[in-house]
Amino acid sequence: MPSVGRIKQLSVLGLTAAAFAVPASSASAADVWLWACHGPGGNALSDLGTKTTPRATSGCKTTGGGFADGVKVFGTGSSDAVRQFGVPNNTVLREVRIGRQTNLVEGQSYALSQGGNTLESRDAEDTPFNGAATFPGAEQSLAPDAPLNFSVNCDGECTTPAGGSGVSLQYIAMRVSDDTAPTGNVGGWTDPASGTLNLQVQASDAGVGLKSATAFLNGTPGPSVSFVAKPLPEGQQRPAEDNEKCEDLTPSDPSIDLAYGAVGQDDDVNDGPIECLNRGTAIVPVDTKSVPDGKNYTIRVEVTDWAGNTTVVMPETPTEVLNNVNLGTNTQDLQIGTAGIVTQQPSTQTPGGSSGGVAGAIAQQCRSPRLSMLLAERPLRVRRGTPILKIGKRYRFAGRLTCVINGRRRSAPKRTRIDFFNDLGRRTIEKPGTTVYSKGRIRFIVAYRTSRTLIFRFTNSDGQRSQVRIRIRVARR
Amino acid sequence: MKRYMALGAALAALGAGGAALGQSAAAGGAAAAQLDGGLSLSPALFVKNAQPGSLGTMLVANRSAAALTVTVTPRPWVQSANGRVSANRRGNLPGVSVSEPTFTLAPGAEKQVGVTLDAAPAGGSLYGAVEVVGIPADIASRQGVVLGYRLIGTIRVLPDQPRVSLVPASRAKITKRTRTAVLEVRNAGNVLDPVTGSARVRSSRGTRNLSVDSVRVLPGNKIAVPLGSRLARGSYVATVRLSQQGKTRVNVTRRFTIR
Repeated sequence: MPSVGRIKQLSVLGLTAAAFAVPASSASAADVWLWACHGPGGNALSDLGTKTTPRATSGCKTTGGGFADGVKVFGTGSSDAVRQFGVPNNTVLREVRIGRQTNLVEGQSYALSQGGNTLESRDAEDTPFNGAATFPGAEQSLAPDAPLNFSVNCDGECTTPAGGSGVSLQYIAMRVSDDTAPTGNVGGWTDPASGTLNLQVQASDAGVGLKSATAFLNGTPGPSVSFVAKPLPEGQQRPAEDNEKCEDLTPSDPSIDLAYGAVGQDDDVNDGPIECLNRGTAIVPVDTKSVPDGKNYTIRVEVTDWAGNTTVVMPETPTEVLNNVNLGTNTQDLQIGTAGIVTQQPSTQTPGGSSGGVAGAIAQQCRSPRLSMLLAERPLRVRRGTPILKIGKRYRFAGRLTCVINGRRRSAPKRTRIDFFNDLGRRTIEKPGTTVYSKGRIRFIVAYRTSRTLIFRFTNSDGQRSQVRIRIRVARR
Repeated sequence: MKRYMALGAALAALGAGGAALGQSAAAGGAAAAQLDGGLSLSPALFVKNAQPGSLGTMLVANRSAAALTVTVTPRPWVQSANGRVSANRRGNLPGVSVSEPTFTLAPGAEKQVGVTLDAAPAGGSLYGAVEVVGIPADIASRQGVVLGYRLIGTIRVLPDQPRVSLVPASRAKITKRTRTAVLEVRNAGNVLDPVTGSARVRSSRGTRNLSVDSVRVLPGNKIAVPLGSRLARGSYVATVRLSQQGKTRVNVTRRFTIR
């Protein structure tokens, strides 16, 4: 069982890429052969794994060792013997093959049973088994998930040799099917992407285990990366690596043959060995430098289990590849002026995209600027040509800026900056300016407690300036 | 039954050039809508020095499916205060005549009409229009709305001795009701070059910087340079600067009060 902390960790990681956590599709699966004691080529598979009871065996250590190196299910005169091989969780048993040799003494009997059915049996009086046997599920009515039971019993007194007698199992092979597709999610995706994008794929599989994850850049697959277990906390180590590897025992054969002892093992990171992972992580690289920069790329990630079930854990995700970022230049012409106008110049646009830089930020002169500013509210009174404003009251000043654009006088573009100064007599201080809004209009709202001269100013990048000075006086009434 | 006639007019204004082609301005029935074209005039601009004689020949063509009665008349311009011009149908342009004032054009037919300057203009220059009106020859028998054409060409008789002079009025003209102020400027010269400029109108509340759009002022005519509308009550100081032919011709300051 996964620890609570592990579950928590997986939940948090799942949130990082929740959008990609939904399996999009899955491919059909093939059956998998699980081999115990010896593999299809006679290679020794010494670790029977945790699905076997009892787990320990003295045999299965010599490649091509035959029955002498098999799993011994030997009874003695005083006790019977039983060896059980469980079916991995979430798999269905389809067929059983065994290589066995019986050597029974009088009173002893051997039986192979599964799910209440006896697949084969033998007494001492019968001709001994010595070779292979196959039990197809369709004929033998194999139970989907019931374990195989090899038993040697003694009725009454059995005179057994030293070490016992019974049946020696050279190999036990189970053909199982796994129709459960893996699930997972992806983190580490960025848009735009550059260099090698290392996607962190977290996946789980309820059947025979995770095989690999693959990322597709615009449909082109990258390397398939095997899943690894989450590293142990610092200071902890897994048991010695004497268990079986999670690898195809017959790589040249289209069939999938795995070591029985590597499948369906307890994958608690703090406990036993982990081989064919039911939960794991894969860092899948996506080399974005293999394609030119552009916006119309997609990245897809698939996870496959050993049975061939494939799940798209990250669907086709539009991604921009941007390896060559225009960093501009370390020199820049200084434009004198505070209010350059930013407008589009269609004639300089490259068809199909910009030629770099900030989109649309092609500075154009506001030629012959003309700024008009007026006090838009009634003052207390006007004395000697100077409006007198009420102390502390907010007054609105409105105006308009026009420029010559394309040979005609037009309203200044939006967001053109207008500077604002206050002339206090001895000094002139700069105040927060504003920007032009629609139709070249400008609006300031100010409130003052002392008299001064307001200066509204626009300066274009050529230094052409248009400013309006409005002298105001402040009075209590 | 009362008869109506719609004139499709194409106006070649003071500054326009090239051919003028009349297009139907109002529906003249289903038959008219299916015609290939209408009345055309080419060229639509005659520019000559102030020497008596031929100003040129224009081609009047009937591209419609009906015979047209065409009338060609030189007209003087009339200009409004904002600078817009139109052909004055109340009078004829003095000193200019055409070879064929009236004729009938069959469908697809063309006619060459000569335009002649009979005498040198008194002011040294002459600016006017050539009005070409085409109406169906069988208009008397038609009922309902009938499509006609009115094309306007331009005549410019340029002075031998150009004289550039813009004279501003001594006072701004105030319209109380709309609280609008304008400065009238008269073209005292004999050229028709565009006038541009700016106006700076200051008051106690602030400053308006206005621009004067390019406008051609007929010799002897006045245009009104706007100084502001819906002005608040108070005193104003307007500085108007106008230029023509690339030089500043007017740079005056006028004070006015809105009461």
